[in-house]
Amino acid sequence: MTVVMELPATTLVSQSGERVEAGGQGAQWTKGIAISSRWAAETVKRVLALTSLPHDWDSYGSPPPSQVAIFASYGLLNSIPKTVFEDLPIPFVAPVSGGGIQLEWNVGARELELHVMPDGSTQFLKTLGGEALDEGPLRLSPIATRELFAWLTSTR
Amino acid sequence: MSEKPLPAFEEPPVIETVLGVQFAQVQLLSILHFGLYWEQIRETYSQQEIKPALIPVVEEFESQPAPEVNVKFSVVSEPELRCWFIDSTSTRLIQLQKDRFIRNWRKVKPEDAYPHYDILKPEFRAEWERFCGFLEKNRLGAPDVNQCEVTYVNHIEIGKGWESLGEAHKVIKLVSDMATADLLRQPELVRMNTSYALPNNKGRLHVALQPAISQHLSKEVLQLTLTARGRPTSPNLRDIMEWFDLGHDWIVRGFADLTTPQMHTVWRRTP
Repeated sequence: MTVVMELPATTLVSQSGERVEAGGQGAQWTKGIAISSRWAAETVKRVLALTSLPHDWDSYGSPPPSQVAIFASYGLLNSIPKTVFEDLPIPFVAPVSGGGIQLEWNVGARELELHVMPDGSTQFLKTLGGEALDEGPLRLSPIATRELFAWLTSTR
Repeated sequence: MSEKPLPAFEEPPVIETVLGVQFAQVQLLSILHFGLYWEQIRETYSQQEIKPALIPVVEEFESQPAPEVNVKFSVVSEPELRCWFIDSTSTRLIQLQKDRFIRNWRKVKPEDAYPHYDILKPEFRAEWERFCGFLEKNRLGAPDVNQCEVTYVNHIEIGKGWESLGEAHKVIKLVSDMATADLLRQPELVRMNTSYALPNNKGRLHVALQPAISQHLSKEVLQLTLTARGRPTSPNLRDIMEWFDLGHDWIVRGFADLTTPQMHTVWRRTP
């Protein structure tokens, strides 16, 4: 049994084309990663650049970031509500030994590190003034990422 | 439809097509029926995924009163959901929910060629007839189709006819060349949404342009999405197919109208 919130206007009416974007309201299967802000565009470019790393880029035998990690990074970026966090700084993007990717944002004394593992799973680390506050696995969802980035950009 | 021959491209940038219908909710169609239906198509569509249901969308041309905002909570026994049935090549998908039947084709590998509408339309037709047969067999009623939709998603790769968003005018006619402008030569983002009414208010063509990253190319692209949506003359199969032809015609001619001759050369336009 499920409790649902029911809204009376359940049909989206398109009268001018402004209220209904092209793209079939989610009927699409392949989703390109929309570039909707400067920081997101630059971040995606930086992640893309990692795909051309050679094998053994760290001289310890590491492969370049796995395709799974690359796609997971795109998924991560897509899950950040860009209308809310339009002005995020561009993160530091780096490959991680073993085929993962690290994304790191710094806002004042707050630092948010996201480690995308070679298998696509993601771990987060929040630090304040250099002290670890919280860490753990990150489930990719707009709610989870909104919470993390709200903390990062909060001035309180 | 126009008398002129339909433009064709030997190497079109299309990476996905959607043919779909929306109908009045088939109330008796339950999650259990989705499973029964899957049994019928499982030989071809061996993978399944569960997704949230799409909300209904209707193209209107008469002004509508603003809906009264009135939120209420209710308890339901079955959540609204949408089932995805994917074939073994991961290029074809059927999406099913209580009021939608959608069939997608997508490009997975760079060498996957667009199968063309002449193939995709009969494929949709065959699957739609099979679904309607399933509804009939299970005494669930005939779907009362109220909207048809055709969508084409194009990924226009950077480096093939354009090098930066400042050269978007080399791709899309709606954008001007700003190379000699004082300040605004290199835009950070280019996004555009336009819509056009189909003849006799049979629906609309929606066009959306935005920069994106193609996941299968791992490359920057301009994503140009054209969606034609509207009400068929009747829910009959013939009228649905006729509406698809209209929608497809507008998408192809619209795509040719919106894009530049230079890009048509890249995509090897014929005629």
